[in-house]
Amino acid sequence: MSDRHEQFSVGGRPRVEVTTTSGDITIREGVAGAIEVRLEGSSEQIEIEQVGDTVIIGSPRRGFLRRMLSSDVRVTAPSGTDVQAHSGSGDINVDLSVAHLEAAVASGDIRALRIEGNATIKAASGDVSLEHVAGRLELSTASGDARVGSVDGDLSSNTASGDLEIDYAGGSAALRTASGNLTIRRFDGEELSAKTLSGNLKVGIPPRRRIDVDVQSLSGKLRNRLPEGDGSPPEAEIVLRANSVSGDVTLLGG
Amino acid sequence: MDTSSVISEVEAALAAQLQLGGGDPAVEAAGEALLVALGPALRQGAMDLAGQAVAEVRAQLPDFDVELVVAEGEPNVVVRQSEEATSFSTDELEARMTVRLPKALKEQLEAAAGSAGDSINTYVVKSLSSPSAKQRSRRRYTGTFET
Repeated sequence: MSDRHEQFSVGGRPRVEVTTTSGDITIREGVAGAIEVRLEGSSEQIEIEQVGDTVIIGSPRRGFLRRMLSSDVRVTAPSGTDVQAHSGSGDINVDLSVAHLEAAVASGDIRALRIEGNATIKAASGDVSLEHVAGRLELSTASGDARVGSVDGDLSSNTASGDLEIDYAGGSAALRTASGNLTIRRFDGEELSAKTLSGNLKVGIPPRRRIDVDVQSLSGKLRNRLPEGDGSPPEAEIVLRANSVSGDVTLLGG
Repeated sequence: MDTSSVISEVEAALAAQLQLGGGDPAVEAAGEALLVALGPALRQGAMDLAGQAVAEVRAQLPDFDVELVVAEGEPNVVVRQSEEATSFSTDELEARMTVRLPKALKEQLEAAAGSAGDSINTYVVKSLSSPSAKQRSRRRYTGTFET
């Protein structure tokens, strides 16, 4: 068991790629032009290398056990770094504003603050929590739940039994679930399509919108709980298409 | 379905145990060999579990075709409305009803049944029990709302 600490100078497009199996990954904001890596635990098998502005921690192509990292990995990087993080049972915490984020876990959780570009997130049984995605979000979970503060770009989600809750979605949304419940508290995009088996869909609609609804279901219901408008002409139109077996669709004020 | 992440989890658990060997190269070598051997078995196990899941879903959705389709190495559960019309034996055709309908529609019905090579009775029973007729029983809500 030994801890390690290494520091790298990077240019204007910093990027971190890190892979662990059971170790946690934490990325925090550091100073501009430098990426610092601290490994805690069994760090002797872990390789750290720099390729241009990219720092790579772990090396999946060099033998199976070498990527079986049990160390916790702590990285400090400049704001605006691109991050790619994969872990098996470890958690991924991204506590800084990043350019793009690609994160995947099996049983660990994923938590990130602000993503200025696009995010691709995959989790099996772990939960996902994202504060803000300024670009496009592609989200996939199995039994884990996902909670997103806001996503400005287009949203694509695929969940099995995990629930998805989003406070604000500003782009189009394509949602698929088996039994997970889908909630968008304020949908400000133009088009929302959802396919569910038994999962329910709740969508909050802002004031002064015209909503063109087409919901098909075997036994689910459409519930209209939209508040009365104030008579002002609509400022934008929303197209909502939903298809379910037994899931309900509920429209709320957003 | 994402079986790779589940397999990674099993591999991670095994690797964590192997690390108790304290970096002994012999233990590492044995572990690598074990993981290589386990890989195909784990994948086959994941496929078998997916197949069992499909069988359970199929049993609960009698009006749907539920299949296991492998795409990009991963099993996917595909659910489709059944294409087969329900068939009935002659003994089951015990109910009778008289329907009043426009003459033109009756003629259309006779023509359609003739084209299909069925009696009018058979044609009507087939049509009403077909998936497309069931599809019409799906509820569809369409409309425009303003907030």
